[in-house]
Amino acid sequence: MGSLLNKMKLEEGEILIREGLFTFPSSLDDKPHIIASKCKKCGDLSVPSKVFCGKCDGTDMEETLLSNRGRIYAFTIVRKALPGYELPSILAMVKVPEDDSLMIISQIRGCEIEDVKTGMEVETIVTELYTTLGGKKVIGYAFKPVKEGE
Amino acid sequence: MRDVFIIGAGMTRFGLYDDRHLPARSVHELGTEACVKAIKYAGINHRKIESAFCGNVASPPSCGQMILSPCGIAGIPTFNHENACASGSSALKDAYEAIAGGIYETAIVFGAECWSFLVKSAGPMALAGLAAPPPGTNLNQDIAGAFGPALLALVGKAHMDEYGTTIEQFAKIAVKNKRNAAKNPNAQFQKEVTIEEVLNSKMICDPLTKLQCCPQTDGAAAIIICSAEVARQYTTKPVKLAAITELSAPYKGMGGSLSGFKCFEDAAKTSYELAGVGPMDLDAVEVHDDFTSIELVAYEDLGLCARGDGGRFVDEGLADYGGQVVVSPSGGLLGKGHPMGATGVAQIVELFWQLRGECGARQVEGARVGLAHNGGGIGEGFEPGATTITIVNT
Repeated sequence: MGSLLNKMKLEEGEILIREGLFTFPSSLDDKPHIIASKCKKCGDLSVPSKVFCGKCDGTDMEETLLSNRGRIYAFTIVRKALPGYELPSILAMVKVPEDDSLMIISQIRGCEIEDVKTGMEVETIVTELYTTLGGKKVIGYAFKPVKEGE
Repeated sequence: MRDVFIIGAGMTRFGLYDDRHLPARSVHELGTEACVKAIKYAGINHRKIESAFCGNVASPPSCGQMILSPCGIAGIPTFNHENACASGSSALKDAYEAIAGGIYETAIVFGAECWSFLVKSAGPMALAGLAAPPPGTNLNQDIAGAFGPALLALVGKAHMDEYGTTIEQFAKIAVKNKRNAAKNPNAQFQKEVTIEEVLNSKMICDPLTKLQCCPQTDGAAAIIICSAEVARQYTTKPVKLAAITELSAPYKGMGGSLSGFKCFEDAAKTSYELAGVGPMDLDAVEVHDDFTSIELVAYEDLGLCARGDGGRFVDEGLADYGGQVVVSPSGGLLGKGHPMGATGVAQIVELFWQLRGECGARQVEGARVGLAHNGGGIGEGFEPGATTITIVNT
């Protein structure tokens, strides 16, 4: 189910799914991080980032990096998708420890369909999500299971 | 604000007008048929209609005007509404407010959709273009590669995890709605199915099998609404539009849970309050059952049962004839079909006929209060972008 190696940067023929959504790892030991906006007034976190707060009347937001870890809240197996996606795939809603009300929709990579479980601990990776009709590889974040001892 | 009434309703047969299932027709022809039926039902002259509101998602611009042209209706304020699967109810909401606010005495509200016509005129890519915008258009869809069924599958999974709901309980909803559709001559599906057939149909997105997902549908529906003064001139049995609430999904929805929809809960609470009724007063409910999971969750969102009790509600037959309230008597989106722009109006057509006792084999005995639950698109917290809850009574 796709390469599990984190991409370090964009290469020829690749495009970002969206600017400002995540950070690439800076070295082989580093991890990628999803970028969230944090309201300086109420502390609410949002992915993708918001300009104004969705929870309160706060208008002063700062950028913060999520920890890289999360847990699968719910998942399903996608057997039919838009063109350019590898199938079958695992689609999940991932919850992160920073904010229980924040859910992140993501593909789960590096996991056999029969092994995926609700509650499973996962970590953010940067990888190819799909190929456009024009043949460009679209790079974004996904999650993969955390191996024991990691 | 003054009272608003429905005095006429009409719809086409729902199905695929592609020459394979039903004779090919354009979205405009379908829309015109529904409007003419509603006008004739009301017994109102077409020149007495002062305003027009059309729900449509995918047709070329000025859909409503093109539909009304053969009806001899022109030179009046005419609006086209796109709010995904809630386009029809969004059109109704604006029409309702215009009449309640005293701007117009009468309005025709209609919705039409014809996928087969789009495919015929622009090829299969017409649909692909709508379903798959270029990268960067819809971040969540780009990440997932799929949407409708995948997201509603996650809702089903969350409900199973949190409350122990079973796949069989979801499947029973498809059995009920297709049984109701078999008694509705306007429905796309005219055949009952067994729970085994539902469970053994092709898996689309776990736990949703093909027979638990609504089909692609063409069709149109229309109603005539007006002030009390006008209603009295045309009928002694007007149906009152008691309340209609339309909301976008609240930020983060349920706040960290996918096992219910805060948008529907909020809109229902407001509509109950405005109409002065509660969930126990309802006789017939049309829900937005594009997938079985959304109907099960709707029982809870609408307060028909407590949170987490949706599965029991199904098992005890409480959403069926002879139960607490009949849900989706028309067959719903699963059985009657789902022509996106028409769906929100068709729900009201069914409730109007139910409240007037004209539904034949699927009539809900003594129906006096009805509710329609219509949602469309994707908004905050992975909830519908647009949610409408309408209450009608006699």
